[in-house]
Amino acid sequence: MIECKNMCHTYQAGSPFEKQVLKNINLKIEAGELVAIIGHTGSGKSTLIQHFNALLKPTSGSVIIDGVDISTPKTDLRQIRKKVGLVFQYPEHQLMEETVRRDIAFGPKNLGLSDEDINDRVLVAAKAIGLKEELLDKSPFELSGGEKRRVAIAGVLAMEPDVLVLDEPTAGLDPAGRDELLALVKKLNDCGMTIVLVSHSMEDVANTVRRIIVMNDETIAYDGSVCEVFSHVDELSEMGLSVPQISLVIKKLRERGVDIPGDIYTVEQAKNALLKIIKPKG
Amino acid sequence: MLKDITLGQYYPGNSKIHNLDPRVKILLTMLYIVLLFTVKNFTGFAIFAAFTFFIIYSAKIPVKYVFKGIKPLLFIILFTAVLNIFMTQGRIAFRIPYTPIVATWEGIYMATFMIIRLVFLIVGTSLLTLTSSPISLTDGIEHLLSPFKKIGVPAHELAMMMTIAMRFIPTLLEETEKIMKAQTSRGADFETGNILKRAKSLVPLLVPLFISAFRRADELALAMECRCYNGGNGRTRMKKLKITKSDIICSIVFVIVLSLAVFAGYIPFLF
Amino acid sequence: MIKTENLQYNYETDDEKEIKVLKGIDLEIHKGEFVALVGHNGSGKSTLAKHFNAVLLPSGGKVYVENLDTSDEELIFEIRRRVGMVFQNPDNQLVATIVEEDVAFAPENLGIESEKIRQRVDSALNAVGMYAHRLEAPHLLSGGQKQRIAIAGILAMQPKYIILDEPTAMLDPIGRKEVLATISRLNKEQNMTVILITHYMEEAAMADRIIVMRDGGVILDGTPKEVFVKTDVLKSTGLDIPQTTELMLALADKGIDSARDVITVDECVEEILKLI
Repeated sequence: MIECKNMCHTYQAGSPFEKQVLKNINLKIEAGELVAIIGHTGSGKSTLIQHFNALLKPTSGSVIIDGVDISTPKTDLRQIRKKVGLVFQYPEHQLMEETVRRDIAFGPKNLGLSDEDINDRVLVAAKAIGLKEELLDKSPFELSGGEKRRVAIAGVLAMEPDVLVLDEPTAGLDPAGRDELLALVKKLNDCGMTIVLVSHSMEDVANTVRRIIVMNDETIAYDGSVCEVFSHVDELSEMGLSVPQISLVIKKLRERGVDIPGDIYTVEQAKNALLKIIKPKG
Repeated sequence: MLKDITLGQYYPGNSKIHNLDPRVKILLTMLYIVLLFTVKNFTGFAIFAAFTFFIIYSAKIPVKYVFKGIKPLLFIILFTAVLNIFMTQGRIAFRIPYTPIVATWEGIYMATFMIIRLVFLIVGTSLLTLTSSPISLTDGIEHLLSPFKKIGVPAHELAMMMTIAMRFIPTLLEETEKIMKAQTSRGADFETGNILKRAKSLVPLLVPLFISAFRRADELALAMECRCYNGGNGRTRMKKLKITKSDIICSIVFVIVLSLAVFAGYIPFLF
Repeated sequence: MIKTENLQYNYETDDEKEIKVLKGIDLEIHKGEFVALVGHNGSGKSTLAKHFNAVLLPSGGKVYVENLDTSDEELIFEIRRRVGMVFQNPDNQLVATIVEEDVAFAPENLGIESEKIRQRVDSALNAVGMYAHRLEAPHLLSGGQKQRIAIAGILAMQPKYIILDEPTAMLDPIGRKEVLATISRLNKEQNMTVILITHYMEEAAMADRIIVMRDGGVILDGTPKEVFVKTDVLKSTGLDIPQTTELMLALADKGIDSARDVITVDECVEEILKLI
C-alpha cells in the first residue's frame, strides 16, 4: 500500500538554510495494517506522513503509493490524495463551513461528485466516526471539542480513502474523549481501513496498534511489534519518548532478578504474569 | 515570493547605524524624504547618492540586498517614467512611428528625476527598517507620537497593535500553510486554473484563518489582562530610549550633507 | 491563602437558558501548596481557576485572595499581581517579538522602574532556565521553551500563587518534562503556591494535593494516595489512574494482599518484590 525506498527529504535544498529532515527511510505498510509512528517533535515524523499523500515529494529515493511512484512526472496527485487521507493535528481548527454537513462535503465536492453521492458520503462518514445525524445541520462551531474533531475527521473519511493517516488525533482531549476516539479508530481498522497513527503518547499507542515505527534523528530507529519496540525502554527514554509505566516496572523487576517476560506493556499482561509468580496468601 | 520583499525587513547587525536611537532614525528618514523632493539638479542627486551609499557601507549591509527592495516596485517606477516621458509638454525629442505619441526632452528630464527620486525614496526607507529591529521602531513611533496624545492620538495603542501584529505574523503564516495543506489533502486545488478560480479557492482558506486569528486574539487578550495590562497608563519600560553623543553627531552630519545637496540646486552653474 | 465560600457561577446562553457551571464550592488553598485540579472537560475546573485571579467574578458566594475580595473592582490589579496564570497554548500568550521584552511585559504594566524590571526579568528567566535565549524570537523556540517563557512572564510579576491551565496539553514528552520540572522546582525551591490544572494523572501525582471536580462540584480532595485509591469514582468521572496504581488494584482484586496506595514506578517495584 505505502512503500518508501531509500527516501530522503531536504528542506530548501541548495540554499544556505538547507536542512535534511529525513534520511534513508525504508518502510512498507500493507493494506489493513494499524501502525503507529512515534518520535519527538523534530524527529521527522510529520514530514514523513506528508509524503504519504504527496503533499511533499522526496528529494531522493521513492515513495510508492498503491503501486504509483509519486515522483513520476504527470502522476495524478489527486488520485493519491483520494487514496490516502491525511488528518492534521488539531483538525478542528480548520473547520470552515456553516453546517457540519457542508464541512464534511468539502472533499467530495472537490472530487466533482453528484449532489446525491455527496450526500451519501456525508452520511456514511458521519456514521463511521460516530456523529449523530441531528448534528449535521448545526454549525460546527457550536459543537464540543471532541465533536468538532470528529467532524474534521469525517471530512477526510468522506473522501473514502484506503489509508487514513492521523497526526496526534488525541492531543488536547480528556481521557474519556481520547478513549472514545481511539476505539473509533480501531473500529475503522476492523472494517478494513489501513490506519497510520502519529503520536507521542506511548500509552495510547500501546493499547491501540499492533506495529510501531519509531523515528529518531531523521530516520527510522525501530520498526516492529509493540512488544519488540517497548522492550527498548532505555533507548526510547533517551530519545525523549515516554515509555508506559508498566514497561518501566517490568524492566526494573527484571533488573532485580525477577523472572518475568520482558515484552509486557499493559496492566492486564502484567497482572497475569505476576499472578503466576505471586502466590495468593491465605 | 513573500520572502523576496526586503522592504520592511530587518537586517540584524551591530553597526553604528543599527545602534542609533530609533526616534532619531525615524526623524532623519522623514527629513531625507522631504529633502529628496526639494533637490533640483543632478549635482544634488550625486551628493544624495554618495551619502546614501556611505550609510549603506557603514551599516554593513550588502548593497545588492538594499536594492532588492526596488524589485517589487520596478513596474510602478517604469510605468510612471513612461507616462512622464510621453505626457509632458515641451520640445519634441522623437515621435513613435505611425502614432501621434511624442516624447519630449522635458519629459525625459522629468522621468529621470522621477526614477532617481523613487529609487532613493525606497532605498532610504528600506535603510530605516533594515537597520532597526521592529520593536525599536515601534518604541520610536510610540515616543514620537506621545506629544500628540493630548489631541487624541492613541500613541500607545498604535504601538501595541504593531508589536502584536509583528509577533503573530509568523504564527499566522505557519497556520496558513497548514490549512492549505489540509485542504489540499481534501482535494482543494490552489495551484492550477485561472486567476478567478485560484481566488475562489482561497475563500475556504480565509474562514478558518480568520476564526483562528479571532480565537488567538481572545486568548491573548485574556493572557494580557492576567498580566495586569491596563492600556498605556502608568506603564513603564524596561529599556529606556536614550539620545547619545553619536546620535547627535550623526544628525548634524546628516543635516549638513543633505542641505548641501539641496543648496546645490541654487548654484546657477551646476547641471 | 485563597479561599472560596459557596462559590457559584452561572451564565446565560443565547436562548436564555441558565447554565450552572460551579455549584457552590468551598475550598482553601494554602501558601506553599502544590495543588492539582483535575476533572473531565466541562467539569468547571478552568472556570474555578479563573475566579482565583478575578478574571471571572462569582455569580454567588465569595472568593478571597489573602483576604482581598475578588469582586471588589478596586483590588483587581492587586489580586492579579499576586495570582499569576499560565494558559494552554504558549503561542497565544506571548506578546512581544523578543523573549526578554515579553517577560518584561507584566512588570512594565505594573509601572516598575526600569532597572528593577531588568533584575526581575533576569531572575525570572534564570528560574525557568531560559536566560541564554533572552534575545531570541519566541516563534523560533520549541513548545516547551515557549511555555517556560510564559511562566517567566508570570514570575516577573513576583506573584505568590501561580495557576497553570493545562500547560502541557499541547507539548511533546520532552516539552512536558521541561515544564513540569520547572513547576516542581518553583514549588520546592521558591515555595511558590502552584495550582496545576491537568488531564494527566502522572502530572497530578506530583502534587501534594489533588482536587477532583465533576459537574461543577468538588468530589474528591486529598493527597494523591488518598485520591488514587478511589478508582471507581475516578473512572466514572472519565479520568485515568496511574498504571502502577491500576496494577496493584488489579492484583488486590485477585486476592493478593498488595498495598493500594502505590503511585510511582519505584514504589510499585518495591511492593511487588515484597510480594514475591
